[in-house]
Amino acid sequence: MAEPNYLKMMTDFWEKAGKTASEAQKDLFQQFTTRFAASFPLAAMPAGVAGPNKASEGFSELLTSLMVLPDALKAATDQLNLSDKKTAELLQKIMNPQQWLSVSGYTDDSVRQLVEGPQFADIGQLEGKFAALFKAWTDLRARALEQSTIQLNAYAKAAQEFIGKLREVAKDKPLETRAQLVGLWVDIANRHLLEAQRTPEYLDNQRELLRTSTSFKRAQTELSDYYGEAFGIPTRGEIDDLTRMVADLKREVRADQRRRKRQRNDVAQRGNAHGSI
Amino acid sequence: MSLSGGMLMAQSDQAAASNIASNVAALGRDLAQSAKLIAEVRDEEVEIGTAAKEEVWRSDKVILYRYKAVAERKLKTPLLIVFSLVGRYTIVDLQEDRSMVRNLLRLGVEIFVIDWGSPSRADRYLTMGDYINDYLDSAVEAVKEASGVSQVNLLGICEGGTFSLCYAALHPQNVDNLILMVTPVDFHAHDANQPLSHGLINLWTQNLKGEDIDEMMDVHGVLSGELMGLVFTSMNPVRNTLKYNLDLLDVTDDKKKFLNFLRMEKWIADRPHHPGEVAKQWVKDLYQNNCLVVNKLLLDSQRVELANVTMPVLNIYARDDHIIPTAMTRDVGKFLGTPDYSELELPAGHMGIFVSGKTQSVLAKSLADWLFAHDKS
Repeated sequence: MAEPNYLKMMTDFWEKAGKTASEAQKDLFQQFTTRFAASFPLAAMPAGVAGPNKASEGFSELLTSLMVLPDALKAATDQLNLSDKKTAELLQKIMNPQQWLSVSGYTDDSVRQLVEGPQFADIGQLEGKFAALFKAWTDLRARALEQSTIQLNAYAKAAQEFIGKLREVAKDKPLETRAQLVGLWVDIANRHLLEAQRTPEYLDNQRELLRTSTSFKRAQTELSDYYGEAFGIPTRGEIDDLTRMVADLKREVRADQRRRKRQRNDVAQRGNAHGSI
Repeated sequence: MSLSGGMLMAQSDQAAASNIASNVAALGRDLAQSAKLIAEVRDEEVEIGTAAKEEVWRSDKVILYRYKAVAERKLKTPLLIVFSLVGRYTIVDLQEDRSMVRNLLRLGVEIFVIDWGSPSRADRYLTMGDYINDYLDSAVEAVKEASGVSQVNLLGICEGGTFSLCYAALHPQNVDNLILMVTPVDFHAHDANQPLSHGLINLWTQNLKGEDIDEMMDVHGVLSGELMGLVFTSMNPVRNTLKYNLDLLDVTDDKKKFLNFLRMEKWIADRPHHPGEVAKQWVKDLYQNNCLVVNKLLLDSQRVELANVTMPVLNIYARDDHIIPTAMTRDVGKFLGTPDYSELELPAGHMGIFVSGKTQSVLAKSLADWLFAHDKS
C-alpha cells in the first residue's frame, strides 16, 4: 500500500481552509450588511450584496461542500493508525467547518450561545465579545425600528387628517399663505406625534431603546477594554477608578481650602474687633 | 392666492396653474435669498453673551464673572445668577437688545454669574452636593469678598433655581433675597388640563427604572448634551423639524432677524453634558421620587429642609413653559418657611422668558423693582 502523501494532503487542506475562512468572512460581512439594511428599511441595499435568502442559500452550499474536510481528515488519520484516538477525534473536531463558524458568531443560535452560554477562560473570549456587540447592535436597531414605526404611524394618521382638514377648510375660506398651511400641518402632526409619545407602547419602547443603547455602549467598552488589556492601554474601568480617586482628592482639597479661608476670615474679623476696642 | 387643494379644484385650471407658479416662484426667491445670507454670514458675526465681564474666581471648570457696571450702583446687595447645567448662562445676555443682564446693569444692579464650564466624563463623580455646597458656596464667598457684603441676592434659573433653593435652605445666612426663575420644585405636580407638549420630561423620566439610570450613567459617565437636545426636540417634534426650511425662510428678508435666529440656534447647539452623579440625583431623587418638597433630599448627608428658606422669595415663571410646566413651579411658597413670597407670571416659554420681545421691558424692571424694595440699604 502506497504511503499517503500527508504533506500534500495538509497543503490542500490549509488551502481549502484558507479559502473557506475567506468566503466565510465575506458571507459574514454580507450577513451584517443584510441585517443592517433590514434595520434601515429606507436605505438602499448596497450593490452586489445578496438578499437574505440568497445569502442563506450560498452559505448552505458552501457549508455542505466543506463538510468533506472532516471525512478526508478522518481517512488520513485512520491511515496513520494513530494510537492516540482522542487526539484524532480532537483534530477532526477542530477541523470541522461547523465548529469554525460556531465561534465566528455567524448564526443567531451561536451568537446567543456565545453571549448567554458558559464562558471559558482561554477560548472564545474575543469572539464572545464581538458576538455580544453584534447582538447589542441588532437589539438596538430593532428597538429603534420599533420607535420609527410608532412615529411613522403617527405621521400617517396626521397626513390623513391634514388632507381631510384641507378639504374642509377650503369649503369655507381658502388658506392664503404658506404660514397658514404650515401652521395647520404643524398643529395636526404635532398633536398626533405627542399623543403617540404618551402611549404605553411608546413608553415601553423608549425604555427598551435606552436599555439597548446602554447595552450596546457597554459591549463596545468591553471589547475595547479587551484590546486595551492586550496592548497595555488603560481600560475604561481603570480610568474611571482614577477619576473617582482624583474627584475624591479634589473634594478634600477644596474643602480644606474653604476651611482655611474661613479661619483667615475669622482671625481678620477678631483682629478688627480688637482694633475697634 | 390660494394654497389649499380644495380651493384649487374650485378654480379654473388656468388660475390654479398660475397660483402654483407664483407660489413656486416665491418659494424659489426665498430659498435663493436664504442660501445667499447663509453663505454671507460668518460664525464670528453670530456672537452671544458679549456684555463685558471680568473673572473674579475659579475652581476646576467653574468660573465666577462680574459684569462691568454701566451705571452707578444703586442696589447695595449684589445679584448672583446661577444657571442650569443643562444649557449656558449666556441666554441671560443673548444679544444687546435681548439681555436681562444689560437691562439690570442699566438699572444699577451689580451682577455676578457662574459659568459651570463643560463637564466631561472626567467630572462624572461630581454630585449635586459638590455643586451646591462646594462650588456655589465658594462662589458666594467670592462675591461677598469682591463686593464687600455679608450676603448676596441669589437668582437661580431652571435647574440652577433648584440648586439655589437648596443652597438657601442649607446656607440661609448667606442669602439676602432669593429669586427663582422657571425653577422646578414640585416634580410630581401636574395640571390635568395642560397641553400635550407639557410634562413630557416628567412622564419619560418616571417611566424609567432607577437601575436603568444607574447603568446608563455608569456606562456613559455623563447625561450627554446631545441626548438632552433630542429630548427637547421630541417635545415639539414637528415644529423642530421644520424650523430650518420654513422658519429660516421667514427671516431671510431681514438680516437682523436672520442673525437673531442664528444666535438662538448657537445657544441651543451648545449643550453641555451633565455629570453622571448629578444626573442620577436629578432624575431619581427629584423627577422620580420628588424628594425636595417632602424634605427628603440629601446633599452630602445633609437634609434639605425647605422650611429654612426664610428670606424673601420672588418666583418668576413662564406661562407657556413646556419644559417646566407651571404646575411644577407655581405656588411653591407653601413649601417654604418665608412669610414674604411673591410670584410673577410672564407670557413666554421656558427660555423665551429671557429673549422674547414681549418680556424685555417687563422682566428686568419687575425684578429690579422687587430687589430695590427688599434691599437692605
